[in-house]
Amino acid sequence: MSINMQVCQACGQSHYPPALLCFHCGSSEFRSSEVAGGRVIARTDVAYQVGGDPDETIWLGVVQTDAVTRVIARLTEPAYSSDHVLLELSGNVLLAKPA
Amino acid sequence: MNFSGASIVGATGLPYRRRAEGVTTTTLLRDVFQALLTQNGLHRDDIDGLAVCSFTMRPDHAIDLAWKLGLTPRWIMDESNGGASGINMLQHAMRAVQNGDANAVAILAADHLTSADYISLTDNYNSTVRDHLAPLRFGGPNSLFSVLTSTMMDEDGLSREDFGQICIAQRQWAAGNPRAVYRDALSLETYLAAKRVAGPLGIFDCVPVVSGAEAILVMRSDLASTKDLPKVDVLSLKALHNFDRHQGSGLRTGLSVVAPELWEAAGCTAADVDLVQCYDDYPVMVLVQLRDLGFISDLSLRDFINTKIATRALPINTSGGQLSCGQPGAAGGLHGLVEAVTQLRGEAGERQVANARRAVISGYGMMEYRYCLCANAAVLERTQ
Repeated sequence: MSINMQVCQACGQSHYPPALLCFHCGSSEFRSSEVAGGRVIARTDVAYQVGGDPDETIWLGVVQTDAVTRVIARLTEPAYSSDHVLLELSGNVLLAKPA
Repeated sequence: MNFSGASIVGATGLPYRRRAEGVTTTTLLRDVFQALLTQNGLHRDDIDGLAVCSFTMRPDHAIDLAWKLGLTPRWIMDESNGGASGINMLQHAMRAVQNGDANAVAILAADHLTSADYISLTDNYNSTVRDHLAPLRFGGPNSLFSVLTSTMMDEDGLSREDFGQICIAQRQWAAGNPRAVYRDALSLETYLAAKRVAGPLGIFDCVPVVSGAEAILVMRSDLASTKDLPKVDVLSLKALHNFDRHQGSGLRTGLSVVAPELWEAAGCTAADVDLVQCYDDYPVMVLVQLRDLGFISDLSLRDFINTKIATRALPINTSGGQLSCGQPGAAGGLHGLVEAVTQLRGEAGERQVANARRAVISGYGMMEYRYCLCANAAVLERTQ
Protein backbone atom coordinates (compact mmCIF):
# COMPACT_ATOMS: atom_id res chain seq x y z
CA MET A 1 0.00 0.00 0.00
CA SER A 2 1.61 3.24 -1.17
CA ILE A 3 1.38 6.05 -3.68
CA ASN A 4 3.87 7.35 -6.21
CA MET A 5 5.13 10.83 -5.61
CA GLN A 6 7.01 13.02 -8.05
CA VAL A 7 10.51 13.81 -6.77
CA CYS A 8 13.00 16.19 -8.36
CA GLN A 9 16.11 14.37 -9.49
CA ALA A 10 18.25 17.45 -8.96
CA CYS A 11 17.32 18.52 -5.44
CA GLY A 12 14.98 15.87 -4.03
CA GLN A 13 11.95 18.16 -3.61
CA SER A 14 8.73 16.14 -3.69
CA HIS A 15 5.53 17.41 -5.34
CA TYR A 16 1.92 16.36 -5.06
CA PRO A 17 0.09 17.00 -7.30
CA PRO A 18 2.90 16.78 -9.87
CA ALA A 19 4.65 19.96 -11.02
CA LEU A 20 6.01 20.92 -14.45
CA LEU A 21 9.17 22.45 -13.01
CA CYS A 22 10.54 21.76 -9.55
CA PHE A 23 9.17 24.34 -7.13
CA HIS A 24 12.52 24.49 -5.38
CA CYS A 25 15.22 24.42 -8.08
CA GLY A 26 13.35 24.71 -11.40
CA SER A 27 14.52 21.39 -12.84
CA SER A 28 12.25 19.45 -15.21
CA GLU A 29 13.87 16.08 -14.42
CA PHE A 30 11.82 13.97 -12.06
CA ARG A 31 11.69 10.44 -10.73
CA SER A 32 8.90 8.58 -9.04
CA SER A 33 9.17 7.60 -5.40
CA GLU A 34 6.88 5.35 -3.38
CA VAL A 35 5.39 6.91 -0.26
CA ALA A 36 3.67 4.58 2.17
CA GLY A 37 1.80 7.02 4.34
CA GLY A 38 2.08 9.83 6.81
CA ARG A 39 0.50 11.63 9.70
CA VAL A 40 -2.89 13.36 9.74
CA ILE A 41 -2.36 17.03 10.55
CA ALA A 42 -5.92 18.25 9.95
CA ARG A 43 -9.23 16.71 9.06
CA THR A 44 -12.83 17.59 8.40
CA ASP A 45 -16.14 15.86 8.02
CA VAL A 46 -18.09 17.02 4.98
CA ALA A 47 -21.67 16.73 6.18
CA TYR A 48 -23.33 18.77 3.47
CA GLN A 49 -22.54 19.41 -0.16
CA VAL A 50 -24.64 20.70 -3.04
CA GLY A 51 -26.11 17.72 -4.84
CA GLY A 52 -24.76 15.29 -2.23
CA ASP A 53 -26.43 12.63 -0.12
CA PRO A 54 -27.65 14.34 3.08
CA ASP A 55 -27.19 11.11 5.04
CA GLU A 56 -23.57 10.61 4.02
CA THR A 57 -20.56 12.17 5.72
CA ILE A 58 -17.24 12.17 3.92
CA TRP A 59 -14.09 12.42 6.01
CA LEU A 60 -11.13 14.21 4.51
CA GLY A 61 -7.67 14.58 5.96
CA VAL A 62 -4.56 16.61 5.25
CA VAL A 63 -1.73 14.13 5.53
CA GLN A 64 1.86 15.15 6.05
CA THR A 65 3.54 12.38 4.11
CA ASP A 66 6.79 10.61 4.86
CA ALA A 67 8.15 12.61 1.88
CA VAL A 68 7.19 15.84 3.72
CA THR A 69 4.70 17.00 1.09
CA ARG A 70 1.11 17.42 2.27
CA VAL A 71 -1.70 15.61 0.47
CA ILE A 72 -5.46 15.60 0.83
CA ALA A 73 -6.98 12.16 1.11
CA ARG A 74 -10.34 10.58 1.83
CA LEU A 75 -10.17 9.03 5.31
CA THR A 76 -11.71 5.57 5.24
CA GLU A 77 -12.34 5.95 8.96
CA PRO A 78 -12.55 9.09 11.11
CA ALA A 79 -9.06 9.98 12.29
CA TYR A 80 -7.53 12.49 14.65
CA SER A 81 -4.55 14.79 14.30
CA SER A 82 -1.26 12.90 14.64
CA ASP A 83 -2.82 9.58 13.66
CA HIS A 84 -0.62 7.62 11.27
CA VAL A 85 -2.30 6.49 8.06
CA LEU A 86 -1.39 4.48 5.00
CA LEU A 87 -2.02 5.98 1.56
CA GLU A 88 -3.47 4.13 -1.38
CA LEU A 89 -4.72 5.25 -4.76
CA SER A 90 -7.96 3.44 -5.55
CA GLY A 91 -8.77 4.36 -9.13
CA ASN A 92 -8.34 8.11 -8.94
CA VAL A 93 -9.37 8.41 -5.28
CA LEU A 94 -6.55 8.92 -2.78
CA LEU A 95 -7.45 6.95 0.33
CA ALA A 96 -5.95 7.16 3.81
CA LYS A 97 -6.40 4.05 5.92
CA PRO A 98 -5.52 3.46 9.55
CA ALA A 99 -1.89 2.32 9.92
CA MET B 1 5.07 54.08 -10.54
CA ASN B 2 1.95 55.77 -9.22
CA PHE B 3 -1.47 55.77 -10.86
CA SER B 4 -1.79 59.47 -11.58
CA GLY B 5 -3.79 60.40 -14.64
CA ALA B 6 -6.46 57.75 -14.14
CA SER B 7 -9.30 57.65 -11.59
CA ILE B 8 -12.21 55.50 -10.55
CA VAL B 9 -15.30 57.53 -11.35
CA GLY B 10 -18.15 55.06 -10.99
CA ALA B 11 -19.19 52.01 -9.02
CA THR B 12 -22.49 50.20 -8.96
CA GLY B 13 -24.09 46.80 -8.76
CA LEU B 14 -27.36 44.97 -9.15
CA PRO B 15 -29.34 43.59 -6.19
CA TYR B 16 -28.24 40.04 -5.40
CA ARG B 17 -30.83 37.28 -5.69
CA ARG B 18 -31.01 33.66 -4.61
CA ARG B 19 -32.31 31.24 -7.25
CA ALA B 20 -33.01 34.09 -9.64
CA GLU B 21 -35.30 33.40 -12.57
CA GLY B 22 -35.64 35.23 -15.86
CA VAL B 23 -32.02 36.32 -16.02
CA THR B 24 -28.84 35.10 -17.65
CA THR B 25 -25.25 36.04 -17.01
CA THR B 26 -25.19 38.22 -20.11
CA THR B 27 -28.41 40.06 -19.23
CA LEU B 28 -26.91 40.77 -15.82
CA LEU B 29 -23.80 42.15 -17.53
CA ARG B 30 -25.95 44.30 -19.79
CA ASP B 31 -28.02 45.62 -16.90
CA VAL B 32 -25.04 46.52 -14.76
CA PHE B 33 -23.35 48.20 -17.73
CA GLN B 34 -26.44 50.33 -18.27
CA ALA B 35 -26.59 51.12 -14.55
CA LEU B 36 -22.96 52.27 -14.68
CA LEU B 37 -23.68 54.58 -17.61
CA THR B 38 -26.78 55.97 -15.92
CA GLN B 39 -24.96 56.55 -12.64
CA ASN B 40 -22.38 58.71 -14.38
CA GLY B 41 -24.49 60.35 -17.08
CA LEU B 42 -22.50 58.71 -19.84
CA HIS B 43 -23.37 57.28 -23.23
CA ARG B 44 -22.25 53.89 -24.46
CA ASP B 45 -19.94 55.59 -26.97
CA ASP B 46 -18.02 57.23 -24.11
CA ILE B 47 -16.65 53.78 -23.22
CA ASP B 48 -13.61 52.60 -25.19
CA GLY B 49 -12.28 49.91 -22.86
CA LEU B 50 -13.91 46.76 -21.50
CA ALA B 51 -12.78 44.25 -18.87
CA VAL B 52 -15.04 41.32 -17.96
CA CYS B 53 -14.92 38.54 -15.42
CA SER B 54 -17.47 35.72 -15.27
CA PHE B 55 -17.42 31.98 -14.67
CA THR B 56 -20.58 31.36 -16.70
CA MET B 57 -20.26 33.64 -19.71
CA ARG B 58 -18.53 30.87 -21.66
CA PRO B 59 -18.24 30.25 -24.54
CA ASP B 60 -18.38 34.04 -24.90
CA HIS B 61 -15.50 36.37 -24.11
CA ALA B 62 -15.15 40.11 -23.59
CA ILE B 63 -15.20 40.77 -27.32
CA ASP B 64 -18.45 38.85 -27.73
CA LEU B 65 -20.01 40.91 -24.96
CA ALA B 66 -18.67 44.08 -26.61
CA TRP B 67 -20.41 43.08 -29.82
CA LYS B 68 -23.70 42.38 -28.05
CA LEU B 69 -23.47 45.72 -26.25
CA GLY B 70 -22.55 47.58 -29.43
CA LEU B 71 -19.21 48.69 -28.02
CA THR B 72 -16.12 49.45 -30.11
CA PRO B 73 -13.31 49.14 -27.57
CA ARG B 74 -9.67 50.09 -28.10
CA TRP B 75 -8.74 47.87 -25.13
CA ILE B 76 -10.29 44.62 -23.87
CA MET B 77 -9.50 42.17 -21.12
CA ASP B 78 -10.82 38.73 -20.19
CA GLU B 79 -10.28 38.11 -16.50
CA SER B 80 -10.47 34.80 -14.69
CA ASN B 81 -8.99 35.18 -11.22
CA GLY B 82 -12.09 34.87 -9.05
CA GLY B 83 -11.73 36.61 -5.72
CA ALA B 84 -8.68 38.54 -6.91
CA SER B 85 -10.27 39.54 -10.20
CA GLY B 86 -11.63 42.94 -9.23
CA ILE B 87 -8.32 44.37 -8.11
CA ASN B 88 -6.54 42.64 -10.98
CA MET B 89 -8.86 44.26 -13.53
CA LEU B 90 -8.46 47.58 -11.74
CA GLN B 91 -4.66 47.26 -11.92
CA HIS B 92 -4.70 46.64 -15.65
CA ALA B 93 -7.38 49.20 -16.47
CA MET B 94 -5.64 51.95 -14.51
CA ARG B 95 -2.43 51.31 -16.40
CA ALA B 96 -4.26 51.20 -19.75
CA VAL B 97 -5.90 54.56 -19.12
CA GLN B 98 -2.80 56.06 -17.57
CA ASN B 99 -0.77 55.13 -20.65
CA GLY B 100 -3.28 56.28 -23.23
CA ASP B 101 -4.59 52.95 -24.49
CA ALA B 102 -8.15 53.87 -23.49
CA ASN B 103 -10.04 56.86 -22.10
CA ALA B 104 -12.79 55.12 -20.17
CA VAL B 105 -12.80 51.44 -19.17
CA ALA B 106 -15.93 49.67 -17.94
CA ILE B 107 -15.02 46.83 -15.58
CA LEU B 108 -17.87 44.35 -15.36
CA ALA B 109 -18.43 41.07 -13.52
CA ALA B 110 -21.51 38.90 -13.21
CA ASP B 111 -22.65 35.35 -12.74
CA HIS B 112 -25.93 33.49 -12.71
CA LEU B 113 -25.20 30.04 -11.32
CA THR B 114 -27.67 27.18 -11.15
CA SER B 115 -26.98 24.31 -8.75
CA ALA B 116 -25.68 22.30 -11.71
CA ASP B 117 -23.42 25.20 -12.72
CA TYR B 118 -22.08 25.40 -9.19
CA ILE B 119 -21.27 21.69 -8.97
CA SER B 120 -19.62 21.75 -12.38
CA LEU B 121 -17.62 24.84 -11.46
CA THR B 122 -16.36 23.53 -8.14
CA ASP B 123 -15.48 20.10 -9.52
CA ASN B 124 -13.72 21.49 -12.60
CA TYR B 125 -12.20 24.67 -11.24
CA ASN B 126 -8.84 23.70 -12.68
CA SER B 127 -7.01 20.49 -13.53
CA THR B 128 -5.72 20.05 -9.98
CA VAL B 129 -9.21 20.20 -8.54
CA ARG B 130 -10.64 18.03 -11.31
CA ASP B 131 -8.00 15.33 -10.99
CA HIS B 132 -7.13 15.34 -7.27
CA LEU B 133 -10.02 16.79 -5.26
CA ALA B 134 -13.24 16.13 -7.15
CA PRO B 135 -12.64 12.33 -7.09
CA LEU B 136 -12.65 12.54 -3.27
CA ARG B 137 -16.13 14.14 -3.43
CA PHE B 138 -14.58 16.94 -1.43
CA GLY B 139 -17.66 19.14 -1.41
CA GLY B 140 -16.11 22.19 -3.03
CA PRO B 141 -14.14 24.87 -1.23
CA ASN B 142 -16.08 24.45 2.04
CA SER B 143 -13.96 21.47 3.03
CA LEU B 144 -10.66 23.20 2.28
CA PHE B 145 -11.61 26.27 4.27
CA SER B 146 -12.91 24.15 7.11
CA VAL B 147 -9.37 22.78 7.42
CA LEU B 148 -7.91 26.31 7.34
CA THR B 149 -10.42 27.36 10.00
CA SER B 150 -9.60 24.48 12.32
CA THR B 151 -5.89 25.09 11.78
CA MET B 152 -6.29 28.73 12.82
CA MET B 153 -8.38 27.65 15.81
CA ASP B 154 -5.50 25.42 16.93
CA GLU B 155 -2.71 27.89 16.22
CA ASP B 156 -4.38 31.03 17.57
CA GLY B 157 -6.62 29.60 20.25
CA LEU B 158 -9.86 30.69 18.59
CA SER B 159 -13.30 29.18 19.03
CA ARG B 160 -16.37 28.98 16.85
CA GLU B 161 -17.76 31.90 18.87
CA ASP B 162 -14.87 34.06 17.67
CA PHE B 163 -15.59 33.36 14.01
CA GLY B 164 -19.26 33.89 14.72
CA GLN B 165 -18.55 37.47 15.80
CA ILE B 166 -17.31 38.22 12.27
CA CYS B 167 -20.51 36.87 10.69
CA ILE B 168 -22.69 38.71 13.21
CA ALA B 169 -20.92 42.05 12.72
CA GLN B 170 -21.14 41.76 8.94
CA ARG B 171 -24.84 40.99 9.22
CA GLN B 172 -25.23 44.20 11.22
CA TRP B 173 -23.65 46.09 8.35
CA ALA B 174 -25.91 44.27 5.88
CA ALA B 175 -29.00 45.60 7.64
CA GLY B 176 -28.24 48.91 5.96
CA ASN B 177 -27.65 47.46 2.51
CA PRO B 178 -30.73 46.96 0.32
CA ARG B 179 -28.65 44.84 -2.09
CA ALA B 180 -27.88 42.20 0.55
CA VAL B 181 -29.80 38.94 0.40
CA TYR B 182 -29.60 38.37 4.18
CA ARG B 183 -30.29 41.47 6.28
CA ASP B 184 -31.94 40.10 9.44
CA ALA B 185 -29.91 40.21 12.64
CA LEU B 186 -27.89 37.07 13.38
CA SER B 187 -27.50 35.98 16.99
CA LEU B 188 -24.63 33.95 18.35
CA GLU B 189 -27.09 31.25 19.40
CA THR B 190 -28.43 30.97 15.84
CA TYR B 191 -24.90 30.96 14.44
CA LEU B 192 -23.76 28.17 16.75
CA ALA B 193 -26.89 26.09 16.16
CA ALA B 194 -26.65 26.31 12.37
CA LYS B 195 -26.52 23.24 10.17
CA ARG B 196 -23.04 21.81 9.99
CA VAL B 197 -21.44 21.95 6.54
CA ALA B 198 -17.90 20.73 7.11
CA GLY B 199 -16.54 20.78 10.64
CA PRO B 200 -16.12 23.33 12.13
CA LEU B 201 -17.98 25.36 9.49
CA GLY B 202 -21.74 25.87 9.67
CA ILE B 203 -23.94 27.43 7.01
CA PHE B 204 -23.32 30.98 8.25
CA ASP B 205 -19.58 30.55 7.65
CA CYS B 206 -20.14 29.72 3.98
CA VAL B 207 -21.09 32.29 1.36
CA PRO B 208 -24.51 31.63 -0.17
CA VAL B 209 -24.49 31.42 -3.96
CA VAL B 210 -26.49 34.21 -5.58
CA SER B 211 -26.97 35.81 -8.97
CA GLY B 212 -25.63 39.32 -9.29
CA ALA B 213 -23.39 41.80 -11.03
CA GLU B 214 -20.91 44.54 -10.16
CA ALA B 215 -19.24 47.27 -12.18
CA ILE B 216 -16.74 50.09 -11.86
CA LEU B 217 -15.58 52.72 -14.28
CA VAL B 218 -11.98 53.88 -14.72
CA MET B 219 -11.49 57.11 -16.64
CA ARG B 220 -8.82 59.63 -17.57
CA SER B 221 -8.72 62.02 -14.61
CA ASP B 222 -8.80 65.13 -16.77
CA LEU B 223 -11.75 63.81 -18.72
CA ALA B 224 -13.59 63.03 -15.49
CA SER B 225 -12.97 66.60 -14.34
CA THR B 226 -14.50 68.05 -17.50
CA LYS B 227 -17.57 65.89 -16.92
CA ASP B 228 -17.64 66.89 -13.23
CA LEU B 229 -17.61 63.25 -12.09
CA PRO B 230 -16.59 62.46 -8.49
CA LYS B 231 -13.17 60.80 -8.50
CA VAL B 232 -11.51 58.18 -6.35
CA ASP B 233 -7.74 57.85 -6.66
CA VAL B 234 -5.76 54.62 -6.45
CA LEU B 235 -2.94 55.51 -4.05
CA SER B 236 -1.30 52.11 -4.41
CA LEU B 237 -2.00 48.60 -5.63
CA LYS B 238 0.14 45.54 -5.06
CA ALA B 239 -0.22 41.86 -5.88
CA LEU B 240 1.73 38.69 -5.18
CA HIS B 241 0.38 35.37 -6.38
CA ASN B 242 1.58 31.84 -5.54
CA PHE B 243 3.93 33.46 -3.03
CA ASP B 244 4.77 30.25 -1.13
CA ARG B 245 4.39 27.84 -4.05
CA HIS B 246 1.67 26.12 -2.05
CA GLN B 247 4.07 24.79 0.55
CA GLY B 248 2.64 26.63 3.56
CA SER B 249 -0.32 26.30 5.91
CA GLY B 250 -2.61 28.56 3.90
CA LEU B 251 -2.90 31.01 6.79
CA ARG B 252 -0.66 33.57 5.08
CA THR B 253 -1.07 35.11 1.64
CA GLY B 254 1.15 37.13 -0.65
CA LEU B 255 -0.22 40.21 1.11
CA SER B 256 2.06 39.44 4.04
CA VAL B 257 5.01 40.10 1.72
CA VAL B 258 3.74 43.11 -0.22
CA ALA B 259 1.88 44.95 2.57
CA PRO B 260 4.90 47.12 3.48
CA GLU B 261 5.25 48.16 -0.19
CA LEU B 262 1.51 48.80 -0.38
CA TRP B 263 1.50 51.16 2.59
CA GLU B 264 4.74 52.88 1.62
CA ALA B 265 3.45 53.61 -1.89
CA ALA B 266 0.15 54.86 -0.44
CA GLY B 267 1.96 57.16 1.98
CA CYS B 268 -0.07 55.94 4.93
CA THR B 269 -0.48 52.98 7.28
CA ALA B 270 -3.25 50.60 8.23
CA ALA B 271 -4.10 52.98 11.06
CA ASP B 272 -4.92 55.72 8.56
CA VAL B 273 -7.77 54.06 6.63
CA ASP B 274 -11.43 54.69 7.37
CA LEU B 275 -12.70 51.33 6.15
CA VAL B 276 -11.53 47.91 5.00
CA GLN B 277 -13.03 45.53 2.47
CA CYS B 278 -11.52 42.01 2.61
CA TYR B 279 -12.54 39.17 0.36
CA ASP B 280 -14.78 37.18 2.70
CA ASP B 281 -15.47 33.82 1.17
CA TYR B 282 -15.06 32.49 4.73
CA PRO B 283 -14.53 34.28 8.08
CA VAL B 284 -11.08 32.74 8.47
CA MET B 285 -9.89 34.55 5.35
CA VAL B 286 -11.05 37.90 6.71
CA LEU B 287 -8.69 37.38 9.63
CA VAL B 288 -5.87 36.14 7.40
CA GLN B 289 -6.06 39.20 5.15
CA LEU B 290 -6.38 41.65 8.04
CA ARG B 291 -3.33 40.11 9.69
CA ASP B 292 -1.32 40.11 6.46
CA LEU B 293 -2.20 43.77 5.85
CA GLY B 294 -0.89 44.72 9.27
CA PHE B 295 -4.10 45.46 11.13
CA ILE B 296 -3.55 42.99 13.95
CA SER B 297 0.13 43.43 14.70
CA ASP B 298 -0.25 44.48 18.31
CA LEU B 299 -3.25 42.39 19.33
CA SER B 300 -4.16 38.73 19.53
CA LEU B 301 -6.69 37.65 16.94
CA ARG B 302 -9.30 37.20 19.64
CA ASP B 303 -8.69 40.66 21.09
CA PHE B 304 -8.87 42.16 17.61
CA ILE B 305 -12.18 40.42 16.94
CA ASN B 306 -13.63 41.59 20.24
CA THR B 307 -12.42 45.18 20.13
CA LYS B 308 -12.44 46.04 16.43
CA ILE B 309 -14.75 43.70 14.54
CA ALA B 310 -17.56 42.83 16.96
CA THR B 311 -17.87 46.47 18.03
CA ARG B 312 -17.56 47.64 14.42
CA ALA B 313 -14.99 50.17 15.68
CA LEU B 314 -13.09 49.41 12.48
CA PRO B 315 -15.54 49.34 9.56
CA ILE B 316 -14.86 46.01 7.85
CA ASN B 317 -16.91 44.66 4.95
CA THR B 318 -19.48 47.39 5.33
CA SER B 319 -21.84 46.00 2.69
CA GLY B 320 -22.30 42.98 4.93
CA GLY B 321 -19.75 41.23 2.76
CA GLN B 322 -20.46 38.18 0.72
CA LEU B 323 -21.31 36.31 3.93
CA SER B 324 -24.49 38.39 4.13
CA CYS B 325 -24.98 39.65 0.59
CA GLY B 326 -24.16 36.36 -1.12
CA GLN B 327 -21.47 35.37 -3.57
CA PRO B 328 -22.39 36.13 -7.18
CA GLY B 329 -19.71 33.88 -8.67
CA ALA B 330 -16.87 35.88 -10.17
CA ALA B 331 -18.64 39.15 -9.40
CA GLY B 332 -17.66 38.50 -5.81
CA GLY B 333 -14.20 39.64 -6.85
CA LEU B 334 -15.56 43.13 -7.49
CA HIS B 335 -17.84 43.24 -4.47
CA GLY B 336 -15.45 44.87 -2.00
CA LEU B 337 -14.13 47.33 -4.56
CA VAL B 338 -17.62 48.55 -5.47
CA GLU B 339 -18.52 48.90 -1.79
CA ALA B 340 -15.32 50.84 -1.04
CA VAL B 341 -15.90 53.29 -3.91
CA THR B 342 -19.55 53.64 -2.91
CA GLN B 343 -18.48 54.54 0.63
CA LEU B 344 -15.83 56.98 -0.58
CA ARG B 345 -18.42 58.69 -2.80
CA GLY B 346 -20.67 59.05 0.25
CA GLU B 347 -23.42 57.01 -1.39
CA ALA B 348 -23.74 54.11 1.06
CA GLY B 349 -27.02 55.22 2.64
CA GLU B 350 -27.81 53.76 6.06
CA ARG B 351 -24.46 52.04 6.32
CA GLN B 352 -22.40 55.07 5.32
CA VAL B 353 -19.16 55.38 7.27
CA ALA B 354 -18.92 58.99 8.46
CA ASN B 355 -16.25 61.04 6.68
CA ALA B 356 -14.97 58.06 4.73
CA ARG B 357 -11.94 59.31 2.83
CA ARG B 358 -9.53 56.41 2.52
CA ALA B 359 -10.08 52.66 2.13
CA VAL B 360 -8.08 49.50 1.66
CA ILE B 361 -9.46 46.57 -0.33
CA SER B 362 -7.95 43.11 -0.58
CA GLY B 363 -8.62 40.26 -2.97
CA TYR B 364 -8.00 36.56 -2.52
CA GLY B 365 -8.89 33.67 -4.73
CA MET B 366 -8.23 30.80 -7.10
CA MET B 367 -8.41 27.58 -5.13
CA GLU B 368 -5.66 25.21 -6.16
CA TYR B 369 -5.08 22.19 -3.92
CA ARG B 370 -5.15 23.13 -0.24
CA TYR B 371 -5.83 26.86 -0.49
CA CYS B 372 -5.95 29.75 -2.96
CA LEU B 373 -3.08 31.22 -4.94
CA CYS B 374 -3.97 34.83 -5.70
CA ALA B 375 -3.73 37.85 -3.41
CA ASN B 376 -3.80 41.58 -4.09
CA ALA B 377 -4.76 44.82 -2.41
CA ALA B 378 -5.35 48.48 -3.22
CA VAL B 379 -5.51 51.67 -1.18
CA LEU B 380 -8.08 54.17 -2.46
CA GLU B 381 -8.70 57.78 -1.54
CA ARG B 382 -11.53 60.15 -2.34
CA THR B 383 -10.16 63.02 -4.42
CA GLN B 384 -10.25 66.24 -2.47
